[in-house]
Amino acid sequence: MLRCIFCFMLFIAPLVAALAPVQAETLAIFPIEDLSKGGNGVNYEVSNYLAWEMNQRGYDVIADEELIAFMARHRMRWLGFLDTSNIVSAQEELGADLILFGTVSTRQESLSPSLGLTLYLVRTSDTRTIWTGNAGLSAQDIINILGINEKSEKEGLMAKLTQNVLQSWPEDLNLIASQQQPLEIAGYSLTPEHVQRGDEVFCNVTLRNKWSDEDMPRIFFKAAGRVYRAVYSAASQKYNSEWIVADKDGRYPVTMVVNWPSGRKKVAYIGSYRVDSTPPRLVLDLKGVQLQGTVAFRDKIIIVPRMLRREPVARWKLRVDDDMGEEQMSTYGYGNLPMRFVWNGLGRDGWPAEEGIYKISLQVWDRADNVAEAVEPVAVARTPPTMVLEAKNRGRDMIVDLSHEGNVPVAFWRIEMRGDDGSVIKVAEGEELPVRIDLNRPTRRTIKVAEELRSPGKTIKVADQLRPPSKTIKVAERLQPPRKSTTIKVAAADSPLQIDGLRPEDKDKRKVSATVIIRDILGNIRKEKVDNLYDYFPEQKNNQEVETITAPVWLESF
Amino acid sequence: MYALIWMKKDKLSSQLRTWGVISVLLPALLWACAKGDAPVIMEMSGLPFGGEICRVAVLPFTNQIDYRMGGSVFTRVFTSELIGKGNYVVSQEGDVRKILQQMRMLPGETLSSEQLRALADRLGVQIVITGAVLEMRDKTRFGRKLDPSVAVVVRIMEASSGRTLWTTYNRSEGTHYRVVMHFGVVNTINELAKRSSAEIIDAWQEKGFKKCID
Repeated sequence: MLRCIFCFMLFIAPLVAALAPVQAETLAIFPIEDLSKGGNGVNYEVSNYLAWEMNQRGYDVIADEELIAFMARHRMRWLGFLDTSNIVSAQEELGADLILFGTVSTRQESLSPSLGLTLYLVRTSDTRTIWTGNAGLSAQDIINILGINEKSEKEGLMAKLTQNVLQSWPEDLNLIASQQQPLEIAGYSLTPEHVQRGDEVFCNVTLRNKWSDEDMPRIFFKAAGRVYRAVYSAASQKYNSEWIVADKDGRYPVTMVVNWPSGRKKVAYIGSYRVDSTPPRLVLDLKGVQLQGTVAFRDKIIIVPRMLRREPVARWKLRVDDDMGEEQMSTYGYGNLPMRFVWNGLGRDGWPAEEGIYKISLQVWDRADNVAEAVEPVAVARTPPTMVLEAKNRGRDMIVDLSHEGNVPVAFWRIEMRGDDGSVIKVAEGEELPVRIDLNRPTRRTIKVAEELRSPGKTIKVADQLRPPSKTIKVAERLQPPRKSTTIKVAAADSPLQIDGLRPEDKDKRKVSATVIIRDILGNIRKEKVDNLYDYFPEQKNNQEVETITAPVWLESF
Repeated sequence: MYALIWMKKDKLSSQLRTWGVISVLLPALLWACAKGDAPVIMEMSGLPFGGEICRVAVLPFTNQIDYRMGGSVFTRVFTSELIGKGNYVVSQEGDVRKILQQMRMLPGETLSSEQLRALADRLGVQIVITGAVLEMRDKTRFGRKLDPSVAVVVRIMEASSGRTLWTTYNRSEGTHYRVVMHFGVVNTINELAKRSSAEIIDAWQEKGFKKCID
């Protein structure tokens, strides 16, 4: 019995082994992208059909679950294309000899069902695409004689299209890598991108390639005609090098040179850095009022920075210092300068800054950290103009002289004068000081009694002026020559009656109030109310000083 | 008298010559219209390495029309034809996209010569192919029947300098490939893009862009 089994095994087993494939290639079929569904579309129908078809052709197709887990592990978010690292990983982790992926390019069903399919077959040993297939098929393309057995639906279209594409599938796939493994740069860093002369540049490169100790290449970085040896760090798995820049301003490309012991050489461009040792040029324009060579303001000042040579700005800082050098305000930012700054005149405590001279300075750093500074003085002036008022009589009229004290020119003034009864006598306004204003006071009822007064004790009749007209006024005792009174008091009158003197030197002491507004060009406003302009008479001022009353001159002759 | 006869003879021969030219050119013209125009190639400079080029990178074509994903469709088909017709070693699209991403380039943005050089260096390619889809439609204007058309401009750029070497324009319609009646008419964008790509690559190879023997 055992002999029979042994004989069977001896003859049948080689026969079975001969019929089975000697070594089935492992094929990974990635889900087919469907561009007709957008950038993230996937067509499982074509993917599954391809898996079944390839299985039928004798390939060892990797299971879907394993493939999806691989894609998730490698964070593959796009279909339709692969990168070298994905292909190498698929070989290492899935054991794939070949990778098949592709795209359903067009798919429209509204008019006549149509499909387009593009497939790529990649050899994982050297990541080379060794076969591509591409075709499009519409229901209108399937034409039979006399229209017999023609189908208008998309039924069977996908299978037919896939078969069309696979028609050119190679009978004998060459799995031997024909090309050298490419130099794969997984990542690189070249910092800083902008440097000054004397700064240090750091460069490191991570390569995906692995070499044996015998074939380990030497790696250099080349910049500005100089070569720097890169040192391999096992901890970070990077090739590092650094060097000090000693070149004039300009852009310098950096290349990586790989020298293998066999003499093979490979040069790859890494990036470039720019040497910039020239600081930016900057000026400040202050939008304010020029006063004695300094820009002055009351509420806020607009500061406009201007680059004389345009170049990108990395960061900036604006600060305002008082005359003691203490910082009152500061602000900073990154990136390009704002179009303008505004200082609202507040100090660091949040209250309006005191009057005085302040220093506005703006510092600007370019990308290579060259710094430029522009400084401008600015004056804060908040004191309103001081009013200077003087009034004097000219006969029956009054002259008012209005001026101001201070360095800030006046932008506007206004004076409004009212009589003792509140009525407006005069309003004047203008833009320049000093100014002289003539005030014509309204005439009061005047009784001309000159001739009659010469006879003491004489009774005069003032028919036109008094009411009732027939009233008789006694003026005897007031008109004595020694009494040089200018005013005649009429005792018998119903109400006290003031009679103006006739001579021009006589003064009108009726009350005149005034309201004065003065605004300077910075916007500071002075508003004052004068109760009686008589108080601003020079004589009155003198009287107030000596407290003496001088008699009118004209009474002597009288 | 002789002069008059000579003039009449000359006029007659001129008319015959004109009709002869028309009779020859008209069928040729009709045939040309039916087949569509051949790709127009503008050669700014010669190909490097005497046209013996193997390593090629294809950048994603820009989509200048409102056909959805038109640039991607043509890029995939063109790359497929390039590999199929010339056995070229074309860089993986994923590698190209990764480098563009590292350069912070957006789709459709034009690469500077320095960036192009860096990209080519990283991929180890000799030339870079890029282009734009200028026209792509699969139906007639009112959508009543299939009538695909594709127009593209494709550029070959030198990797070492970043300059444009060749520029090719090609436009084709589905009806250009009609043999008789409705036979031969191309009804899908994919098939038309394939034919258009093949025409461009054939024209390049005729001009000296040699196949890769590797």
